[in-house]
Amino acid sequence: MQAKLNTLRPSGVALAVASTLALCTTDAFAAQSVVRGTVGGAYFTSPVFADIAAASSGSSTVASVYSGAKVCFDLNDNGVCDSGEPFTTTGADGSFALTSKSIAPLVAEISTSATNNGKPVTSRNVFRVKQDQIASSTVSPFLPAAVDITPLSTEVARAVENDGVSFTQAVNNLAQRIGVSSADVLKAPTNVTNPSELTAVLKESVIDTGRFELAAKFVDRGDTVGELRGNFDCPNVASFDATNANSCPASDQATVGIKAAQNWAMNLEGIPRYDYVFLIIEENESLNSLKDNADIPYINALLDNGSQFYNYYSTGHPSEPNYLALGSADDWGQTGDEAIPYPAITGVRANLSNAVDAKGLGWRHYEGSLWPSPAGTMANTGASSWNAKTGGAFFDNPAETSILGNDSSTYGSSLVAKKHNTVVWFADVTAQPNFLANERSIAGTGTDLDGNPIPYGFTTSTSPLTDGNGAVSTGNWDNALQNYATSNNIKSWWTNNTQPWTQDQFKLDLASGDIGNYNVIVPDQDDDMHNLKPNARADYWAKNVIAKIQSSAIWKDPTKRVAIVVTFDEGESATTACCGWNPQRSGNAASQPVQVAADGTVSTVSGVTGNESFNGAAYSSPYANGNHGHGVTLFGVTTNQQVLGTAPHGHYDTDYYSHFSFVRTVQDMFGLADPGQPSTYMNRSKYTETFIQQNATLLPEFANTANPHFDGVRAMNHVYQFPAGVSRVVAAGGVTAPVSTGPDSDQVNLWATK
Amino acid sequence: MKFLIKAAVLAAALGASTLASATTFDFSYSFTDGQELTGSLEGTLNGTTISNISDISMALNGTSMSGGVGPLQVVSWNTSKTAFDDTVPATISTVGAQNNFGIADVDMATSTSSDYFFSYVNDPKVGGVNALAANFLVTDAKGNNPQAFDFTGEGAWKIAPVPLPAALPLLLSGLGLFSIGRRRLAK
Repeated sequence: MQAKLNTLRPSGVALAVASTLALCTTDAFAAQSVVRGTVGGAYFTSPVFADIAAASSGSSTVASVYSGAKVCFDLNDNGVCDSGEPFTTTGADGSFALTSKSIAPLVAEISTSATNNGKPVTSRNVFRVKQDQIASSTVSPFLPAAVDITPLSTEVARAVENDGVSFTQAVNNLAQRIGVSSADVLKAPTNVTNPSELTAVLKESVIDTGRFELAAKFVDRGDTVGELRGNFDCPNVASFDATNANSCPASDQATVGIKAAQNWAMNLEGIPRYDYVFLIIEENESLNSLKDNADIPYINALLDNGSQFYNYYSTGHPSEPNYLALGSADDWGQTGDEAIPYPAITGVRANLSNAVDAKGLGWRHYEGSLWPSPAGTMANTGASSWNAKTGGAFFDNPAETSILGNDSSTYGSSLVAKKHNTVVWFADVTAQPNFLANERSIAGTGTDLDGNPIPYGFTTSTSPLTDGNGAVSTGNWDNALQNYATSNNIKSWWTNNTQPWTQDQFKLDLASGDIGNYNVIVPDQDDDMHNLKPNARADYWAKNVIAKIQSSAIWKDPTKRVAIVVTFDEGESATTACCGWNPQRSGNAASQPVQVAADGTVSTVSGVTGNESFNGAAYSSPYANGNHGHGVTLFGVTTNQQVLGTAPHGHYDTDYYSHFSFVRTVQDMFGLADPGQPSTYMNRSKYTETFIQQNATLLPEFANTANPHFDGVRAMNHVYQFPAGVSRVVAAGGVTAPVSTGPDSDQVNLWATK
Repeated sequence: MKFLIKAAVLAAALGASTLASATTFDFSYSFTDGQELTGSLEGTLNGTTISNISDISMALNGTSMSGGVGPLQVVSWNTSKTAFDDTVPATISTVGAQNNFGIADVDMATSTSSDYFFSYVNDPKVGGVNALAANFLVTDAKGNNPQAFDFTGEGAWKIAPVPLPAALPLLLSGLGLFSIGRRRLAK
């Protein structure tokens, strides 16, 4: 059957008699229709997360078909198989054939009584096909058009309905975005024969299937527009936050049908789906030390030309708790750096790396000036214990006098700080089979991907490092480390010692397109402002890395959505925090994080143990020592949609956000959580204002708050509008925002793609 | 004498036409899922090909396809044009795999909608076997219009002249006329 389907599909079916096409597309009910095809997609086997490698496994995906799915002509185009609409049920091979007196879109309702790949469907889903897709495959209304109903055909339908593009444009855009031919992008994966195209179609199928499962839930639960667009004052929180609460207008209280729900599923809490995010984490600066600082002109230009958040709070001090927070929306009670014994976080704990993996997406962690270290070896005596624990990945470095930088200084100890890592702390991440493959090197030197030099070009008088000739020593160690690796024939751990060590694997990955969907980038401690404070060297490092991203094919492709975030781990010398993190308010330590069971039962997470800073003393109630936050720092965003397309830029948002808010935003961006189910947001990122109010007894640190809005986590969507007369909390480390009382000048979503 | 000759010629003609090619044919297509399309038509058989087709009637699962826009008509599927084609007379084959035609209450070459139809096409350009029928004027117990499809394998196609019981009266009547003529001659 597949062979026959394929013969029907050749682009030649563009034979698709022009007159028939015209009739079909211009008058919905002028022509009858016959269709046949497959309801197909992907069967995704989730990774198994455990804190030992022997119990862990990665994910897998195979092409699959849905048996027992109800397929109908959706005569009234409401996304539902209504009574009276022609329907059939897919056979064991996922196939269907159906005819209708009137051509109309197709809907496949996949209930939990259907099977996928022969296994029960666990969450209801709805796939769709636009009428135009049928028309484009129609040779005669008296012969069947070959039409597969898939997650990707549904995504095309959603795009046509919401993105202002034609059917043809939507198909071509999707094909280009995932790197397959337009002829193959709408085929059921079981009909895709090109191996690389099949891989791409399967990955997109897994992503879309997950998103559209959410959409079905939105409908089945009766979720409101307010919930879906991230109005955190819906349902109305005015009863306990009369001063700050926005209204929950009737439009936000309305429920949605499946078609609207599928679009919300691609814009969870108002955060658009992105394909690639690059998070660059710098060190230890308050916003007021960075904003308009002449020593970092490039980063300030990014803020001005892109988008910036004025009240973004770090969550602790020193560094490590913040990296943990950026990786998982909790610091797990860690109040110091480099917890020993490793790993710091035992058990299976929710974190972004595993959450991304669990949805069929990919992550990477790129670290600057990495010490060349093959997997499975002890690269350095002093660090051998750590190195062994991480499988050979060496996130600290020895003091190596033979490595001389551009300025002839030696490669000092701990230039690379293992504490500056959002991933390595989690036992259930390092136990995953893909862990070593995802931890890679990055350099701040060299040309962009087109071979163009990235000019230094700064003229400030405070450049802190020179090579003796007046030039700043950017990328100080990269060449020396590469030479060392080459001379000693060192292989890279991320290739399991099969390929030579490369000091800038990031650039190679950008060139090949083999990049994570979520990429965390950490410079060394000279390049991240940790050792040298705001300076042109750090500014250049960011410029160099961003130039490489912006010269890559993925950035230049407008069908792909790419965001670059620059932020800092912590502010300076302040103990304020917002947004899900407010320990020791009114004398209360932070409680253990709260979890929500499948039946809705809320309880504190048990078994979290921690270690006191540096001295290694274990304590049973880690949050008793709780971090207080470390004030406001910089958070800027630039996207390729701003540069290539029509996405707004140059806007700001003065609402309160924290690392926890960013983690929530990432979960929305990649479809990792369900806005209708607080339990699906990891750790403290679920602490919305409403959630805190509803679980007050479990969250004593928020008791007697004067500003519940300040305390709550929300996606960074700029939906909240400060009521007239309401002033901002004066932020430690912050700067005077363009507006300090009442609404911002606009409510533009800084992640908007158009 | 003249009458006798005329009667003899008529009887011979009738007998000859009945024996060489039938005017009326019964046909059926049994879909692989068990559904059945049946019907009859008039035409001229030459080898395995029936031409000059007219007076078509059809039923799907015993339900007559009637009451549509117009009388049932047949058009050919043109494998060169990859389209139904009403510019050349349609033919039907007694061999199922050689069929390329469609029957509907409209001209399938120019219309985009019918009340009922039967397509029987064997063309690699459209995936090989395409046998399908639907009746949009009827609703079945599930609320659907009756419809049947064969794409992955071909069902059983039969078409044959209406058997003797139908032709015999013609022959007998011819012989009767001949007999009457002979008696008149004898008188």
